[in-house]
Amino acid sequence: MPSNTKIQAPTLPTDGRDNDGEGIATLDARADRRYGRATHRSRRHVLVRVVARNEPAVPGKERGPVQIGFAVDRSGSMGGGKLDMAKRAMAEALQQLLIKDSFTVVWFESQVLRMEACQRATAAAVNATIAACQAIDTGGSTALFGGWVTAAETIAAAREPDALARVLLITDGDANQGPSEVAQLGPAARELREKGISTSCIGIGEGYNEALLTAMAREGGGNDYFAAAGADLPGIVARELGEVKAVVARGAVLQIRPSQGVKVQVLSGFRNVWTGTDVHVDLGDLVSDQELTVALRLTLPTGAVGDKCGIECSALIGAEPALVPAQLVEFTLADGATNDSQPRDQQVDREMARQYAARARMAAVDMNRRRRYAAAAHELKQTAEHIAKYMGNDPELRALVAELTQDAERMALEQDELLRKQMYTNSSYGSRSKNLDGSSRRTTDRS
Amino acid sequence: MGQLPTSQIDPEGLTLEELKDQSGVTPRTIRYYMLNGLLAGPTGAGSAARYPPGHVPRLRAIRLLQDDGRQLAAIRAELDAVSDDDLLAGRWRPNLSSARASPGVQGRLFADSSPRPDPTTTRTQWEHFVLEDGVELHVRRPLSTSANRRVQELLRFADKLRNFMGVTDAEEK
Repeated sequence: MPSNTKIQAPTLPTDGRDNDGEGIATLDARADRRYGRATHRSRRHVLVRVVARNEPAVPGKERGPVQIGFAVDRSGSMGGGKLDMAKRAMAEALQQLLIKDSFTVVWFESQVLRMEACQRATAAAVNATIAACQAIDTGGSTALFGGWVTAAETIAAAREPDALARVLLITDGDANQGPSEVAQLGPAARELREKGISTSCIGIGEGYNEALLTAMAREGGGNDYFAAAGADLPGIVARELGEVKAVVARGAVLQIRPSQGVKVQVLSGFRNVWTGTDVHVDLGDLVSDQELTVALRLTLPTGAVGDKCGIECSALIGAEPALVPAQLVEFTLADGATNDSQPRDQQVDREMARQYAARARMAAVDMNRRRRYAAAAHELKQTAEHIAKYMGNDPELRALVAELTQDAERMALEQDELLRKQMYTNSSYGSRSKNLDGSSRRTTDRS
Repeated sequence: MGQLPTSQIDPEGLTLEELKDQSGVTPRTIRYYMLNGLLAGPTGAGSAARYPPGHVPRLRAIRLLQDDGRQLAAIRAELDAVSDDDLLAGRWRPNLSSARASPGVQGRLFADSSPRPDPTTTRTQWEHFVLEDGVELHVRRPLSTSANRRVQELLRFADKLRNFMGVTDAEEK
């Protein structure tokens, strides 16, 4: 049964020499049901909730230094006010930096133009960069890879180990010069991440490749944002900078150790890998009070009635354990009657339904774009029907089923690209515990 | 298991730093084990905190069992029944699953003078994965890293195929 037990916690020593494992405040896990069938491999779902330490911003309180690299698209399509808004957003962000921070600005079209090497954010340096950026104009194609890598290499050359380093990529188009595929840029973002430089991406309008930018942010340990218009850029860049400054745990990982015979699949949109003994779910950098839920689908083994199996969840920060108790979620194998009559956890059912809906919507957007309208509608309808089987009288699940049914009707016809992007982005955010504006969800958002 | 060299045993206990040096386990991980009830806390507090010498082989035993894929609760259950004296005297022997423990890992618990397991005598074990009703993959363990990677790729591909074929919603038994 899912005892969700915290393993007994003795008093910790208080010599205080190693407190950096405390970036995560709580870790808990709960399952949708307590039993699995002894004679069949049963599917069960587990919801793991991770909350980062709350460290409210206090005016005048020191924060850690940041190194930020802007890689900004100035290709022909960035005309019509988007380039001006990008300049404004960047200028406002640069003015927020402290002297201990450093920055670099790289513009790209067919060519890559780096303004300066990575420099301290003194008032003179910031003002000079803002002034120099005014002369930048649009033209050419989109050498996205070159611009992004140049910003990252510039930061790497001036890397300060204590600083949080991030490249913010801003583009409105698909990469069409140099490496341009998810399979190329995703691993490259991962490689940079392993060197301590994370990547966040902002896509503007309907022309950019959201699969590419989402993959770069996901593999790169940063955030991805959708700006419907250039006018949204200043708000988004400010939000991103706020997130960078509020990081309390770098490189957080949820570690899931299954018992023998249990198979784990991560339903949420986080990057995950199997290490040979554990599933590692990459949660990225966590900001103060951030709340993440990770949805898991387990396949239990068969066995004798009364046998136990399950998973153990723990958290890592930078490859070392976070100082929160491990959570054990245990299931008991039972006969058919016991299994069929067990209650379900409504909260887990709701979150799983949201995760399945998000996956179905992202798949439907992709199919609609490829003119596979019937398949897109089928995907959504099938998910709605599946949720309907267990929704009972739950108003939230009933509303979700109604929305999916409506979405199925819409996706049966060709849709506007902006609507598709909005649906994909919202679903992608939902699958990674983000708010609809792309910011990290915090426990205070619920109240 | 071989005995711990007596020169390393301080009857008054070890500082956190000494415990780290002798066990090779970082202070944060030591605290994590204490937090999860695998290790008793120190006597004294702050810089006067002292850890019993039995913690050194106990930490090695915990790491060994962790590397073998055991969950913390199972490790705690196994080691709760073993005294510090038994650990220090080398009277506890782990029962490792050959599926997960490499000979190198098994050797880690043993002091340098102790006999090590013969790497050529590693037992093999078959693991089976149910890909779909009536479709199973059987894998003989242990595998080389590259073979293991290929198996993982195969399993990922099978998952993708299942999702593509819309089987994900079946089996809600």
